[in-house]
Amino acid sequence: MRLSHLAGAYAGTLSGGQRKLLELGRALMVEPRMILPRRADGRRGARSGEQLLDHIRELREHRGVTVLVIEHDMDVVMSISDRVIVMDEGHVIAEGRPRRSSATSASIEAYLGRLGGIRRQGPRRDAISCSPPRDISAGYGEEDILHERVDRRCRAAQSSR
Amino acid sequence: MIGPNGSGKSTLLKTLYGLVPARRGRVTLRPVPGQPVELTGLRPNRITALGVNMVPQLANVFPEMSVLENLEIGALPARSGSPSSWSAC
Repeated sequence: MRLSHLAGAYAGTLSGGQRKLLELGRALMVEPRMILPRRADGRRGARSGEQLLDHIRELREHRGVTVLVIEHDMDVVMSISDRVIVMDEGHVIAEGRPRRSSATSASIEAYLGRLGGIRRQGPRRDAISCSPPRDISAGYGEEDILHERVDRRCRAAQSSR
Repeated sequence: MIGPNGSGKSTLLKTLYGLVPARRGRVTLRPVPGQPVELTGLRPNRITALGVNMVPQLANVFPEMSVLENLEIGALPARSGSPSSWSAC
């Protein structure tokens, strides 16, 4: 985890990013077949976040560890995933392979269940059948905004009928 | 796994790891190669010992312990699936 030079240091003296790396390292001590990181938190530009993503890629590609991760940064999702599951209101509404090209538009469509290659499951909800907003980045921490705008557009569409 | 707030992503993870009981359905680990392992109803420490581990990603460490000691704690479930026996380690 690139923390060996800190082996004797108090964990309380580590930076936030280093603590997350340590937390991942601790989970790997049992040599798991599958890990469940709550979120990758690999925001681009943050060194520790990039290191975390590197470790996840390494685990998946070279050690055969399955990584099931919750992630909101669609660039990260597209860069580390070979399968995407889209959930809404307690249900899987779509799943499949991410389209690595056109990450930005695909990310929006993924939230709306229209990503090519992702197989939709279950009935379409009204909120999902609305036109996808063009000006939204589904970046880290912006899921509230995305959801709110989708719902607002749906209400507007319904009232215009 | 992606989806808006409240869509059930965290709950699904917690269910897979035994922190939230499944209302219906089963949780089965199907390693390739290997035999399927039934995880439904097991406690988290047992699920860890069977090869599935959760990473809360909260930067949750034991601050008064060294980095190495923090890692050693992570290895404890591999020695025994029962927390009651950890004190003997």
